[in-house]
Amino acid sequence: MREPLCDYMWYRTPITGVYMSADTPDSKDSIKQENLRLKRAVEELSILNEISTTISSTMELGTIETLIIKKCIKHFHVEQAAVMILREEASDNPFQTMIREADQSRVAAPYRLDTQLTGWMLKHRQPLLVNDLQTDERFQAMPRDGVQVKSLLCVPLFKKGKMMGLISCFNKKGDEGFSEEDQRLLSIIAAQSAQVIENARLLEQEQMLTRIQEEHRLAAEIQTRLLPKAAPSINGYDIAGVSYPAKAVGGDYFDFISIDEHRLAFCVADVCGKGIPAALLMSNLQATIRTEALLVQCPCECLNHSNRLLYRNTEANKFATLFYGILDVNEHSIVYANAGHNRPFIVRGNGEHTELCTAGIVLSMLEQFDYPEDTCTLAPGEVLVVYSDGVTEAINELQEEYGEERLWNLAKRLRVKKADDIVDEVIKEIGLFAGTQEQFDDITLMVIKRM
Amino acid sequence: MNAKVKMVDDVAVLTVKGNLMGGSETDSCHMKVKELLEEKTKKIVADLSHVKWVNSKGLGMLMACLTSSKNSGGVFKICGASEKVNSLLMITKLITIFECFDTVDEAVASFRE
Repeated sequence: MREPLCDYMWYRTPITGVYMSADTPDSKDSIKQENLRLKRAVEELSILNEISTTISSTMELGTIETLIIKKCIKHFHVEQAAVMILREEASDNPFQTMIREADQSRVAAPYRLDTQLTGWMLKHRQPLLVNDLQTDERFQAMPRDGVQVKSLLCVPLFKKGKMMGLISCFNKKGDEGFSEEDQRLLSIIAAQSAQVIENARLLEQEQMLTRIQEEHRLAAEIQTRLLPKAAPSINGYDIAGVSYPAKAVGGDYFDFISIDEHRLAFCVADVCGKGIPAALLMSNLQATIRTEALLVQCPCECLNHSNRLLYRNTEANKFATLFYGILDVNEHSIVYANAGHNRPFIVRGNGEHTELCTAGIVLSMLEQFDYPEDTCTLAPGEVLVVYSDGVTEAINELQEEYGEERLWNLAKRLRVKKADDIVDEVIKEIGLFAGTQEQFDDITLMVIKRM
Repeated sequence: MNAKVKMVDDVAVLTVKGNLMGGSETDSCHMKVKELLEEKTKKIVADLSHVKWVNSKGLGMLMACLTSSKNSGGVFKICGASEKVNSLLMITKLITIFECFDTVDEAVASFRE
């Protein structure tokens, strides 16, 4: 294919020539001929101008394609025209987007463009002009049903030397068929259109990305609202909880559910994975736990039921870990059950720590599982710390994990502080430890301190 | 592809390398297991001795392998889990549903019992 700029230059020269020769006319015939050429040249320039003005006035891909098609139908006097855009990711049918416009006065049904044409264009990457398709050896197997294609003109669209699509015109009206001039003009139109189409395509992609980002933002907002706004205030207890997702939305969550005047259920959970899929499962899990917490009396039953419900609603590779406890403020006891979650621990008055070891399998792995239950007590000043693996698996620049040991020691040092401060300090410490390393997993932390 | 298969008689030993953290290697392992099951290989051992890190996605993948195997009438066992991987299996109690062995030989031999 010729460079479009060269085309244009080549095309202008004769016009100047005609103008020069008009001063010394040789014969009336040649003037007439020259005038005809001049008229056609002006026409072509005006169509080019028209197309470039209209297509650059819009940035919407569909509109641009339709405009090009309409102008082609009008100018080339054809029954139908089409703009096809090549999609790089689709290998079986490279030409995915086909926008066709038919001149309704002549054609009732749209053509089914044969893959032969697109195949030929992809292979040869050059303009194709056929005025008698029925006898053309290259396209012997064109479909004979529906509207017959008699003549066609097809030029490729290039983007930085790569073929990105094609513009085709079918069935020139009248008997003359497509001319070399038609081909040249359509090539110029194609060269003009390619960049505009590409820009529109990029804009469309960007708009889609913006929409997705907006949806993410909304999802994050919804999820934040699902988390408790404030920790419950209970006489004799100081409670705090936070959750920081690694991405906009996450799979971790914590919750407080008031069961009656002296009992508070609480939980920390981690749904496998991150982002939207994890967040969806998380909201499902939260709804399940909130319902079960009020229906059943003990943690083990709550987990047994929730496990079964979740198992039925999820795929084999999806699961969640959950620690669920019920604090009795009269007894100062915590009855708990654990579905494969990191072991919570209590910092005792003497500075030692006790891990809550009783646990069962992660939720949603087995249809039926009887979760064991255990009880622990809190003496004045003692602190229960429940956390997700994002805390202990935070990684520093040396690829070391924060680990449980560090967390235990930190909690021991902080145990005299208020629950809110303990939570803040731990989160700060994790941030300092990770340094420049990106937060990889959701971080959730809950502290229950008996005053 | 970070999962290589070696046949020891009728047992397929899948050597998994890298981190099972939800990346492409995590998916490729489950794909390989599904391929084996389709080819009527019913005895599969995943050798995890070259796996450094496993997170919840990785665990999910191992569980998916186990479930796919069970559903196709196969048996999926694991071996060579590092201390870290093992502790994760302990905490999540998944150790109770996986047949775990120290070495490939032990895992392969277990099919002959």
